[in-house]
Amino acid sequence: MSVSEAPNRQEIGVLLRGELEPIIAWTGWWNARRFVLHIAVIIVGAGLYGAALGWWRDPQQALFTALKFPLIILLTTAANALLNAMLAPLLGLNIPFRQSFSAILMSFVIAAAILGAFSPLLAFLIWNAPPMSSATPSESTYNFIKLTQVAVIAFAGVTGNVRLFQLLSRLGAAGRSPAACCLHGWRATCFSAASFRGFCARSSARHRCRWNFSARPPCTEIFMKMSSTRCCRSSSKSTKP
Amino acid sequence: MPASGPRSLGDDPAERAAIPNVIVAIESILRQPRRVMFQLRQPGAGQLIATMLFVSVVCALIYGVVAGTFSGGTQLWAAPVKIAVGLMISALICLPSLYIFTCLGGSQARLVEVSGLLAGLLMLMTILLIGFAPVAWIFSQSTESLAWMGTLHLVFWFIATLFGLRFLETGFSHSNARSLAGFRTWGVIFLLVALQMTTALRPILGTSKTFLPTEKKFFLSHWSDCLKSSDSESKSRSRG
Repeated sequence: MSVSEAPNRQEIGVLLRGELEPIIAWTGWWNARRFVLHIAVIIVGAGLYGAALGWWRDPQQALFTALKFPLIILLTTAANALLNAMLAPLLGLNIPFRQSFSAILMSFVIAAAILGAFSPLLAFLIWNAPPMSSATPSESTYNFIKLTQVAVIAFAGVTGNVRLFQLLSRLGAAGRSPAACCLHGWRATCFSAASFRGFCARSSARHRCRWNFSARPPCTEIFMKMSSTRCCRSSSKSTKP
Repeated sequence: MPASGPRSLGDDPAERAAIPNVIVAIESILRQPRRVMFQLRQPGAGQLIATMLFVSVVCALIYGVVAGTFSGGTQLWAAPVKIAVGLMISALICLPSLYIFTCLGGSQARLVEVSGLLAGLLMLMTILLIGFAPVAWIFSQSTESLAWMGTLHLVFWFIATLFGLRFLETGFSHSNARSLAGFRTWGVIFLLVALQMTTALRPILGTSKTFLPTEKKFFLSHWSDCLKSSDSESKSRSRG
């Protein structure tokens, strides 16, 4: 697959297989159609997974989560693009902004493709689960579904990161060590940004669905409280639909 | 010329012969699986895939009728419908993850070829179930134990699925896959999905007032309940 060929669905297979030669060529040239394809894969893949995730609550939650999940990924990529481009040369990886942005976007495309592929499995699991109601003891079922979701998201994230690391190792001429430093730096910025955005966008399967991102002010204070585990216990006990 | 190693697909002229109809497809999947794998890479593989799916559905329906003879009545049509539909839906649910795992393993197989290999798995599986059908029918007429018949059908299904998975694994090994670990993980997922599907569409052997169950259960919980009720029935019979 060469740079001059028009982007198509086979590119997703190339990304998943981690074929570095065409991927490096893609990062070197700006192609609007390829960019649109990548955005579309993120929206569709993460959207399908989000819909399956929220479906256990009700169809409205499925719609909201289908919209929020891709937004979290896209906002994280866009908002951290400049910071990540500056971090790369500081950490020993001398690549331009276009390449760093493309590399991070492609890693999210891989993760979103995996999430989208697992969405039918998650939907099947939720379809077979007892409904979320106060009449049925749903704690163990809820924990099992949550564990499955964590496993799938972790698998998708790890795979995306592995492919990103392989790409960075080839992009940087100085070897694997700068690539590893750069990857850790990018992970830190993306993790903090994504977890904060995800928290602000929260309305999980457990709680009542909400659309707005700014849940209640101040978000930062509530985020800090959550990390001290006190709020985690109290919110897990509130089971009112 | 390489001194050793697996032959490439299509090296044998017999593998390059097209598969024109259902009978040849059945013969090929049993005797010449490499021919099926090679033909799935050629243009127009869609017809072969459709043929394999058609055979799978027909064979699943026939096996379903045999399974339904245990209870008779509405199960004579409900069991075949549930087995055929459940099998197709399980394959459809697992197809995207199969493509992902094969790509991650380095396989060059396209989505069409992956779909064709999955259709081949279904066809081989259901053909083998037809082979087990006479044995299943004899036991259906010889016993009233739901637990025993359920276990027997599961054993037959498990053996047939293993052969199907072996076909699938061989197919992917010819597509430059660097590792089959992801595929094997998918095999476990497929088994779990199919097992859960049997519970989601219950009853397939027993009787019920409704076509589909009103209560949601995971398959382990359902099996446990079936074994307990079978045990209590046998105890009450022995007391009486």
